[in-house]
Amino acid sequence: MFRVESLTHLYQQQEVLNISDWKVNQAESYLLLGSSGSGKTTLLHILAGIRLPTSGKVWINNTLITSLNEAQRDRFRARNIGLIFQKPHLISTLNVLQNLVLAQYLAGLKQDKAKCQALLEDLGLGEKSKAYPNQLSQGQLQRVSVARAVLNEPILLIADEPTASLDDASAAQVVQLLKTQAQKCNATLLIATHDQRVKQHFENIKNLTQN
Amino acid sequence: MNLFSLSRHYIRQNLLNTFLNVLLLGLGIGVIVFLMLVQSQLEDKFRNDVKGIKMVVGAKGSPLQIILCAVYHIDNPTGNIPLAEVQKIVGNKRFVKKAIPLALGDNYKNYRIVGTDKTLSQHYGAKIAQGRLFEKVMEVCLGSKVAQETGLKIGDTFKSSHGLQQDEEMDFAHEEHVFKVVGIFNPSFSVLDKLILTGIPSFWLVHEQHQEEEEDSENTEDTTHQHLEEEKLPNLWTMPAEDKEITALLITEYQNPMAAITLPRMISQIGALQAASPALEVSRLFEQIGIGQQIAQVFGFILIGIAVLSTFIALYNALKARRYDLAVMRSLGASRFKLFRMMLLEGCLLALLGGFLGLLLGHVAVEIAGQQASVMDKLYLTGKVFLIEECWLLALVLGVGVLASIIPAWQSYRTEIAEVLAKG
Repeated sequence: MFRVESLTHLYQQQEVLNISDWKVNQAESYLLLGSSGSGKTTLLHILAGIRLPTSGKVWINNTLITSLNEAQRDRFRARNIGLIFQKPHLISTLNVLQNLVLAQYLAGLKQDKAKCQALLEDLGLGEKSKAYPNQLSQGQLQRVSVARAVLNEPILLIADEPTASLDDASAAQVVQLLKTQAQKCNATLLIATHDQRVKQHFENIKNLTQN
Repeated sequence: MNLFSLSRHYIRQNLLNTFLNVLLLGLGIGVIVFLMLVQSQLEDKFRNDVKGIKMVVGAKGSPLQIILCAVYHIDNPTGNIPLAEVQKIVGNKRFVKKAIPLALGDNYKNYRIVGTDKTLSQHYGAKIAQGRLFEKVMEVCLGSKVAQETGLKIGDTFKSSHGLQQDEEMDFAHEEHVFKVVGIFNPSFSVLDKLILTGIPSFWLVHEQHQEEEEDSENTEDTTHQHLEEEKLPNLWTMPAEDKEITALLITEYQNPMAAITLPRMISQIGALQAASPALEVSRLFEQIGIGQQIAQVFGFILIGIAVLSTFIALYNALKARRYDLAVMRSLGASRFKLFRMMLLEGCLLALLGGFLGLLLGHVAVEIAGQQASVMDKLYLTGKVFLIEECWLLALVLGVGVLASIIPAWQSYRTEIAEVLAKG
C-alpha cells in the first residue's frame, strides 16, 4: 500500500524525521505514536504530499509521490488521500452539505449532492446538512470533517490528532467512525495521536521515537 | 459549486464591508458616468442646434449671449436691431445667400414665441404634422414639445405674455391680440421642438399696440391694425423698413467663402450690430464648462482610488482570517493557481458590483437632473441613453478589481499549507 524508504527530513538544519524503511499494507490500520516534536505531523504531511522530504522515497500504491511535482501531488491527494486534522477546519461560509460538495469540486469529481447527503445520513448528521459550521458542536464538526475526508473514497486516510479537542463520547464516536469508514472504502488508516483513549482501539503501532 | 459560487459565499459573509466598498466604487463610477452623460448630451445638443448656422447677427453685446439667445433660446436678447440695416446685409448678394430673421420677446407658458419666416423650420428639417404653416399675421405653428405639454390644438387661440419667461407678478399679457394655432410640427429633436413660430409682423403688431397703450393713444382700436391682422405676411427683405426692428439674423449660407471674413468686418462697422460665430462661441463655452468638469472628474477618480484601497484592505484582512480555509482547500486538492484565481475573481466581482451600481446611480442622477432643473429641461437631459464609453468604464472597473485583489491573490498563491496546518 504505502512504503517509505530511507526517509529523512531536516527542519532548520535539525533532523526531525528519520525512517529507514516502513511498509503498510492495504486496509491496515496503524497508530502513529511519539512525543511532540518527534516528527509525526511532518511524516503525515510527507505521506499526504503536502511537504517533500529532504531525502528518501515514498510510494503510495506504486506511485512514487516524492517524484511528482506540486500540481501532480495536489491532484493525487485530492483523489487518493483523505485528511483529518485536530480541528475540523470546515469552510465557515458554506453549510455542511456545501462543504462536502466543495471536496468533490476541488478534486475535480462529479458534484453529487445525493451522495453527500447519504454519507451524512450514514454518519448520523443527515438533518444537519443545511446547518452552518458555527451551529454545530466540536464533535459534530469533526464527524463532518471525517465525512469530507472519506467522501471521495480515498485509498489512504490520514488523521492528525483527530480526538485531541473532543470529549470522551465524541472521541470514541470519531475513532469508531474512522475505523468503519476506512473499512468501507478499503482504505489504509493512519492516525497520529498521543491520546490514550485512542490507543485501546488499535493493534498496529508505529512509534517514531523508537526508530 | 465552482469558483464563482465560492467567491459569492465569501462576499456574502462580510456584507457590511462589501456594501461599503461597493458603495464607494459605485459613487466614484457614478460621478464619472454622470459627467460623461451630461457632457455628451450637451455637446450633441449644442452641436446639433448650431449645425448649419454660420453666423448670427444681433445687437451689440456679448457674442456668447447672442448665440445662447438666438440659437439655443436660453439667454435673453442683447437688444433689437433695425430692419433697415438687416435688409442691407441680406440684400448684399455678394455675401449672403440664405438668412433667417428672428424676433423675440414674448412667451406662452414659458415657451418662447419666435417671430421668423418659413426658413427656420426648413433649416431644422421640421415638417408640419398637422394643419399648415403660418401664412398670416397672428398665426402660429407649435413645436412638437410645446403642443404636447400645453395641449394646444389646431384652431385654439392664446394670448402671449411679455418677456421670455412667464413671471407671475410682473405678468402683463398682451390682452388685445390673440395668436391662433394653425399648425403643429413633427419632432425635429432640435431646439425647434420647444418654440412657437409665427410671422415677424405678428410681433410688430403686438408690440406697437403695447407702445401705443403706454403712450396713451386715444385711438386703440384703429383700423390699420385690424387690417394688418388679416394681412398676408409681407416679404421682410423688400418691404419698407421704416423704423421696424427685429432681434437677430441667422446667416445659414454665404454666397462665397470670402464672406466669412469680410462680412463680420462689414457688420462691425454698423454701430449697433454685432456678428457672432456659433462654432467659436460654443467651443469657448465648452472650454469653460470643461474646467469645472475636470475638477468633478478628478473627484470621481479619487473616489475610485479610495475604493481600490478600501477593497484591497478588506481582501487583505479577509485573507488572514482565511488562511486555514485556503490551506484546507489546498489539502482537498485545489491548486495554488485555483486559489489565486478565486481571490482575483472575488475582487473583480466586488468591482463589477460597484461598477453596475455606479452606472445605475449615474443614469438615475442624469434623469433626475433632466426632470428637475428648468434650464436642464431645455437641454433635454435624459438618463435613458447609454454610451459606448460606458463599456470602457466597465473595463476600467475590472482593472480596479484586479488591482485591489492582485496582492491578496498572490498571498493566497504562496500559502504554505504544511506550515499553516502544522500550527493547528
